[in-house]
Formats: sequence, structure tokens, C-alpha cells
Amino acid sequence: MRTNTWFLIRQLAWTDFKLRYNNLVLGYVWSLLHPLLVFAVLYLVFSVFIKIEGIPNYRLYLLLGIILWNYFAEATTSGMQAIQFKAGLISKIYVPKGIILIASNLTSLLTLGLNLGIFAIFYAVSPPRQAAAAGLFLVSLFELIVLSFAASLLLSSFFLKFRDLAYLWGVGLQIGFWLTPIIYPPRAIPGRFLWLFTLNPLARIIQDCRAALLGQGVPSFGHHLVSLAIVAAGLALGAAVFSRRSARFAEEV
Amino acid sequence: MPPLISLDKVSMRFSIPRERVDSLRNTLLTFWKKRRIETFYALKDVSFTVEPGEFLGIIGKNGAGKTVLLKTIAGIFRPTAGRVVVRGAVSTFLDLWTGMQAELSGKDNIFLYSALLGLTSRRVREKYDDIISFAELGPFIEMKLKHYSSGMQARLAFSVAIQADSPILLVDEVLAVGDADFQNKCRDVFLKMKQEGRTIVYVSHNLESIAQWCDRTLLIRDGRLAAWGKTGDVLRAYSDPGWSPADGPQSPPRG
Repeated sequence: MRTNTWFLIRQLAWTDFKLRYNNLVLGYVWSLLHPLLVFAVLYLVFSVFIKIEGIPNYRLYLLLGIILWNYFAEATTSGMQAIQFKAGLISKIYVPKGIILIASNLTSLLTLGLNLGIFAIFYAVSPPRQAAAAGLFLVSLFELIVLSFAASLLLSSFFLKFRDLAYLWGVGLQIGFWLTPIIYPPRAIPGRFLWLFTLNPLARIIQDCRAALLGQGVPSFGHHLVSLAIVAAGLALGAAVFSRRSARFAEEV
Repeated sequence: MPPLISLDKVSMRFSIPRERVDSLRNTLLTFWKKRRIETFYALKDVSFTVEPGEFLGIIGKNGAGKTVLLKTIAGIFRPTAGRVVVRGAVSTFLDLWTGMQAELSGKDNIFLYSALLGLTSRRVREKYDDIISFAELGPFIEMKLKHYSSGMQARLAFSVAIQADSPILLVDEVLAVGDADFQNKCRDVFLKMKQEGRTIVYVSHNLESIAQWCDRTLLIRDGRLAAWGKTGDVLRAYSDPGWSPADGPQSPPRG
């Protein structure tokens, strides 16, 4: 029984955030530099070397895609291993295991916040013609956060038993990066591969975020309902598996 | 008033796989092999209750299951069988440093450690100055914990720990660390907590301190409850060589 759940989550997340960039010369700048470097290289390759045509505001399109993808990759990778990193803790003090995952994702969320700040600067420098639908963007962002949390729940449930999941997930993320329309538009995908896009909730969410901010066809209400249903189902599955598995975490770490 | 803690036929079984299988690769490779898993009961059919305001001692040899018992009450382990009911907030002290971060300042650690021990953010802010002055760390509080001496770390951890205001405290050998001065401080604090009527479960090898503080004591041997009753009676039973059959120490479980 705890009366300070939120205080504990905040402390754990803040500690992780400080430790992550501790003792690094550039500190937090790394978390900003990383997506910017990826962006710079990809922009050079796909806007100068090989020209991807027909995407208005390609710079913003690409940067937003990279930032959102990075959040998913970072949150799930850290979330997967969060319980293991707190091994000393959970074998000595009772902490609801979900709290550790929430704190871990919250740390990644702080980084996402910083990155979206960079995006805001790019946006302000060359704003797209259509006005942004900030409300819709927040809805899609919420979906992304819940989806990442659901994936973290599932991955961390099995990581303690299968430590090589970390490598598999790393490879999976690399493949996912190229199969998700981050660099290219969804319409570049030929019809017979379209299922790759339809079955990929992340592609859906990233595309919705772009639609909201860069104004490329606002998705319907029904479309958002489907997205919400997908992440809700993912969350239910993740929570069910995690609560079954987490009872034994203290023995497995 | 119902007991604050009650255990009903609690068993805790650990499995000791011969070869540790903790990767997907090994699971696939050894899928057809019959896996030999030995199990080991760290606790077996343990039942007892702790009344509000009681100071309960737990004694037993190394590996008898004292710490596992404490962890099971704390909720760290979920029992394999039986039921643990705890009515009220619990603070657990298995050692003094759990959760502290060497790379963070003393100040940051005060907040982190308080949160882990179940303090509310308001209480930490109220008690912040008390914590620092009790730990005698005033000028060093912005320094990273890794530059603290072990005595300073112990004082910091202890000063935070005594601010825990949970009605139930689970304590494992905390008094075993530190110099005589520090141990005296610990003793004063425990006496004060006892006077406040808080419920304390205390694991120790130090029979003197058990005799001094505990209303009742529980003797655990090979994971089973060997004796439970008035401290004097249990201590007599424990020290009587004729009464206690020789038993080799068991290897404690991992973690």
C-alpha cells in the first residue's frame, strides 16, 4: 500500500533522466543532437542524392517522423530493460512493477518534449500553409505514448526470461524504421504491400500526427476511433501479460 | 482490533535450474531436453500474526529463511501458497542504501530515497532541514554521493529512514552496520518508534537486542516456524542445545 505513488514515479523518472546524461560533456545536447544528425543525413540522401518528390514541407515531414519514431524506439528499448536496471531495488523494496515502467517511459517522454521543442523551431522558421490542428496532434501523440507503453509492458514481461530479446528488438526496430513511412510517403507503397502499412499502428499514428501539424488531409473521426481502439487493445493485452508475469520478477532478476 | 499482519500457511518455493536458461536461443536449443529443475522451500507452512503496536523479533540461523520471510511480508515475493494480509502502509529496511545513487548529490538522494521508503513529497519538504542536520551533512549536501565516506552515507540514509511514518516497519539487521556511535543512534530511534506504538518486525542475530526490545519472538528453522511466543521462552528454546537438533545451514536463494 502506497500513498506516494506519483511522488515516487516522478523521483524515479527524474533520477533516470539525470543519470542518463550525467558526466557527458554535452549532456542533454546529445538527446537533441541524435535526431538532428539522423535528420541531416537522411535529408541529404533523400532530398539531394535521391529526390523524393511530391511531399510538401518535406523537411518538417521527415523531422517529425524521425522524432516520433525515435520516441517509440527509445521508450520501448529502455522500458524493456527497466526492471532489470532496477534489480537491486525490486529485490529489496516493494515497488509496484508498473511504476518502474511508467517512470521509464516518462524519462523518454522528457526527451521527446525536448525534441518537439526543436521541431517547433523548424516549424516557426518555415511554417506550412495550412494551420496546425493542435488538438488532433495531441490525440495522436497520446496514442503514440499509450502504444509505446503497451509495447514496453509486453517486452519487459519477457525480457527477464529471454535476455536476447534486447538484440531481437534492436533488429526489429531497424527493420521497422524502413518499413514505416518515415522517409517516404505512404502512397509510395504498392498496393500488394499496403497491408504492411495498414497493419502497422505506428505508421498510422505518425501519419496522423503529420496530417494534424502539416495539414495533409485531416483523418476522419472514425479513423481516430479505430486508432484508439488499436492502442486500447494493445494496452489491455500488455497489462494482462505484465500483471501475470510481474509477480515473479523479484525472483528472476 | 484485528492483527496488522497475518500469515496463513505461507510457503515460498524457489526453483534452481541446473543450467540457467535465460535466453530465447537457449530455450529453443534445449527445448526437447528434459529440464531438471530442483525446487527448494525457503518457507513452508508459516502461520503467525502481529498485533498493532507489537515489536516482533525473528531469529534463526543463516539461510533459515528470515530474510525471505521479511520480503514475503513486504510484498517483494508473492508466496507460492498461503495468504499474507498486511493492513497498513509498510516501510522496509533490508539494508540502508537500497536505491541510492552514487552519481547524484546528497540532496537528490534524499528525495529519491524518501520516495522509495514511502514518504510523501510534502513530508520530505517539511523534514528536509531536520534530515540534513540529523545527518550532520550541511556543507556536503550538494556533493555527489560517491564522494561521501561510508559513514556519511550511512548517516544520510538513516536520517531519511527514520522519517518514514508508516505504521508498520520491517527491519533486517540495520543495526549491524556503522560504529558504536551510529548504533547508539539507531537504538534511540527504535526505542522512540516502539514508544510511539508502531508495529515493528525485526530480524536479527543479535539476541541481546532481541531480548531487550521484542515483545514476542519467532524462531525459524529450515523455512519452518520452530517456535513463536514470548521472547524469553523462545530465546531459551533457541539457546538450549538439547532442544535444538543439529541442522546444517542451507544455501540461501538468489536475490
